[in-house]
Amino acid sequence: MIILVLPDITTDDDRLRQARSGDKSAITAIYRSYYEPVYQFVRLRVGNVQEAEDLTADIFIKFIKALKEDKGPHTSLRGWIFRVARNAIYDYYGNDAPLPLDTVEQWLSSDENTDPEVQALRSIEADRARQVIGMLAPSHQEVLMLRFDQQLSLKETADIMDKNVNAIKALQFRAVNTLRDILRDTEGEE
Amino acid sequence: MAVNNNDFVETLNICIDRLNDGETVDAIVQDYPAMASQLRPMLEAGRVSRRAKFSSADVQAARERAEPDILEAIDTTFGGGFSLSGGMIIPIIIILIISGTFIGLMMNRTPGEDVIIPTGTVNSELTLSGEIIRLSDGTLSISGIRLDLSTIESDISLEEGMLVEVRGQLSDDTILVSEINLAEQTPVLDSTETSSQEMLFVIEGPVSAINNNRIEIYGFEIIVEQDLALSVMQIGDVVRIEASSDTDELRTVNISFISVTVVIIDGQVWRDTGTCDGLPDWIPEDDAQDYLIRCTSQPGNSNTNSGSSSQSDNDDDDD
Repeated sequence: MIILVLPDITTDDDRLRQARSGDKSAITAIYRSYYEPVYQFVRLRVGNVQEAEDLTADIFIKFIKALKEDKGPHTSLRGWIFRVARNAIYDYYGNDAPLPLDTVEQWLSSDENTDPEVQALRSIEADRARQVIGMLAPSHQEVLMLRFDQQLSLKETADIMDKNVNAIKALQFRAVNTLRDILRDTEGEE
Repeated sequence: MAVNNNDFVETLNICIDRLNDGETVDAIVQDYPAMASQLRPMLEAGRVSRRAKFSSADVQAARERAEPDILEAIDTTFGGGFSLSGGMIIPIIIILIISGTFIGLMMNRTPGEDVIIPTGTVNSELTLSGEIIRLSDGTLSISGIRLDLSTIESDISLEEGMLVEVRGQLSDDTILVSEINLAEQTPVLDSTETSSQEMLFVIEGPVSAINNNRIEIYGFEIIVEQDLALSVMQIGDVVRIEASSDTDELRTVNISFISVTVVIIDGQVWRDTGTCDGLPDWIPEDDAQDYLIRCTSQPGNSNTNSGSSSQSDNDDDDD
């Protein structure tokens, strides 16, 4: 006898609908699937680890309360969560704060690989990343994080950043163009 | 060839979407030869953002610290306990591949005879797919499992031999059907050797708990005897497990990771941490495609002088 046990393929919309009806398992599933990307997003902008953890937890607490008060998202769960995350960061940090450099350095930190060559490469890349990211405008940092790192859609990114999609297209162009120029320039210096 | 700035901005956006869908830079720029020299370095530059990841261990540690408070908040806000049987319906598809003995095991078992149905499935919502073997008043048999039709009215004129998909609620001794639909084909599991008396569960889902060599998926407790896999497994990983149930416990026969790349070869194990730490040389490239796409620079691209586009900042407030 063979029994195949597979979960239903549950979409964000399915989960959100279940969560809005008070299904705790759906709320927990949403929290678990979004914790990592939200934490990564917050931590990149908040230098203090404890503050990043607290802010991330607050984002999910807000989500839970919003569901309870019937104020949460009806669609675009991802967009809603990242918008709340962005607002939480701005409340904490202000709109124009660049990424904290000590955080940037930790982006590429390795706690597993002890290979000296890898560590050396890592060190160079961390320096380079710090240089590059430090020179970008906050809006450029943000659009790169949302589009490339979090791989959000143009529409989701536009919603989160309170801009229209054409503005985001232009912004992401300028961000990658600037990043490309800086990378090229710093490579020339190495 | 001159490239219109607006066209380039539009194309770049399409390319970013394709990159996010997992395509390589090479494959993408091939489709835009007139813009390739500009697109390639920009896409490569954008990929630098993907290195902006904290290690999985950092994130896992943060989540473990946060989880008790968040689960408590969910519990407090929505009331009730956090147990599988406390109204937490877990949608699960159970597809019975081989029929014949299950009816004897499950529905007509003699008192005292154990039938291995993990407790997590009881009170769970199930979907069974299969051929109608027998149809009689109020009951339906699919692949040897008898289903109670008394709780629904179906518009479908059911006949023996039909392939159907049935959704229902599994209770201790019956399945109450809530929905029935025609199915296109009966799923077939790849050849997996089992004895006729042995049940092989194949379960795919997120790991919700790890206690020594026991893990939990959708309320099923499963013993994992593959130490290497267990050594890198983390709560939240989506795994596919084939588990033998020839005793009163589920024991893993095969395990594969769905949500994260884990390679196990000849006593060595590697887990993709999401960073670019370097790929051990014993790992075949085919087994680490995600890592290579994320971390490998295209040779010669980073120094490419693209003749930088002079797109002007003319359509955005740019903060």
